[in-house]
Amino acid sequence: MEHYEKQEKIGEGSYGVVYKALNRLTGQLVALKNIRHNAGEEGMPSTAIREISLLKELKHPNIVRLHDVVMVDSSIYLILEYLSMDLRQYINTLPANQLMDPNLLSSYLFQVTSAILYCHRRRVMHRDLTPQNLLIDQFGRVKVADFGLGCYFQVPMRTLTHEVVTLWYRAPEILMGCPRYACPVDIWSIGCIFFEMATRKTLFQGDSEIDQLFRIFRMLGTPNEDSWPGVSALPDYKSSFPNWTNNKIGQLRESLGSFDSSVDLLAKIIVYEPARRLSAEQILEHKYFKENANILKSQTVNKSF
Amino acid sequence: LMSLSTKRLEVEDIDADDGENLVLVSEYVNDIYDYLYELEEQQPIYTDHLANQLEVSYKMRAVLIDWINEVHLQFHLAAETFHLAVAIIDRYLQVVKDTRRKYLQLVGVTALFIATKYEELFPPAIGDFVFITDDTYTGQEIRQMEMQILKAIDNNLSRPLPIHFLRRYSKAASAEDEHHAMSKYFL
Repeated sequence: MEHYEKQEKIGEGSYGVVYKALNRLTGQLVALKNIRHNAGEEGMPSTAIREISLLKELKHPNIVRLHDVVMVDSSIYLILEYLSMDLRQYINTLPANQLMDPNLLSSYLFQVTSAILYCHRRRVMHRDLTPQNLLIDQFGRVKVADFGLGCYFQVPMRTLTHEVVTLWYRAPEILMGCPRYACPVDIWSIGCIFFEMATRKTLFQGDSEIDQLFRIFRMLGTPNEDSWPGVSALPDYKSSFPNWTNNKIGQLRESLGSFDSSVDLLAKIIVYEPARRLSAEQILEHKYFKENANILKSQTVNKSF
Repeated sequence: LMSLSTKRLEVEDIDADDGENLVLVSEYVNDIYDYLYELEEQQPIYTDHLANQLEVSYKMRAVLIDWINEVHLQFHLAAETFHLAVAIIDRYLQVVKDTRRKYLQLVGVTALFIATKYEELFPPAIGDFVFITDDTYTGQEIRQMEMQILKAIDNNLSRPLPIHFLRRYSKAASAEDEHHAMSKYFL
């Protein structure tokens, strides 16, 4: 550990503190996540056990790399790839009335979705995708971080916990108490992040679980057996839910601007029934990226003239 | 949604009707099983994995596993937790050749402690693990052994378990619940 020079504290993860540090041997900057193993009676936190094991499996250009795990005495250090900023900070540093560059936006969306497709194909769910857990660098790369709530899933799925995913990005099936949710919970979060990148506004900014649900209902209409087969059997479904009847997702056109295809894409992600939501693979094939690629190309051509 | 397996295999597509059933994740199921085989190869348990152990014999391992099985039933833990604990024990013993006989139960109970944290929604508290060893070991000893085991197995808990494959095979064979339960017993 002695060749890591701790610099400033950069955050506090689901367990332990994260520092920026310099590897004196290589000159490389790293993020040091310190887990105090003996601080608690219970030994290694289960979130740390899962995160380390999962990160060891996941080697993808858009997933934060775990360089090493150093165990000294009663402390454990995760040596992680260092990135200077998270997506939330980036959006907040944009001038007040300026939106994200649409090319950067579609590139970020593509990168994050590629990372999540890679996870889902390896039976890993992230379960806590938020702008804070997406780290960016100055080269236009974005990487998924913080697998503290990640878990592996089995086929068929087992019962899973509900204490996952920061409220604003939480899928309706989790909010409704569905015991066996799956990959689409990550897709829902991606949809919310997509909207937030495009508009700088949080799509569903609830301040409690029920407020979160009602905000979704106001946008998509209160779910029923037509819009979401099986919904009335979910543990937290109430027939006394207020009945909002309009699906207003198409009305987001104005706020999404630039391309019609972004509204189409969002409308296919922000869907009640998990099985009808696009998969990561289908998102990557959506025409939104093709249109954007063309515009990108035309812009490069313009520049060269 | 069409399952990928139809593209790849000339045999019956056992996932054909699962497109709507999210719980079965049929879209990625072949990718996932290919990946599990890959992982299994990366974290092998060798056939002679106890050879060269100074004090621990196969018989002692068998007694330990029986005990872990009892504890896992007593605590109402998932089958996965039991299988993971066994895999942790075996991977530890094939690396740490000088495991002392009197610490073998500590290895076992700690492996189960780690497995519950990885697999269970509500893992039992460390005090429960001290209790089931009749206070043979302290919480501090379990925590120390936890570090040693995690180091020995390189913090890697992703080795797929027999039960992950059984579920798939039972489906391919259209097994009935009773047969599936019986196979579970043999694992």
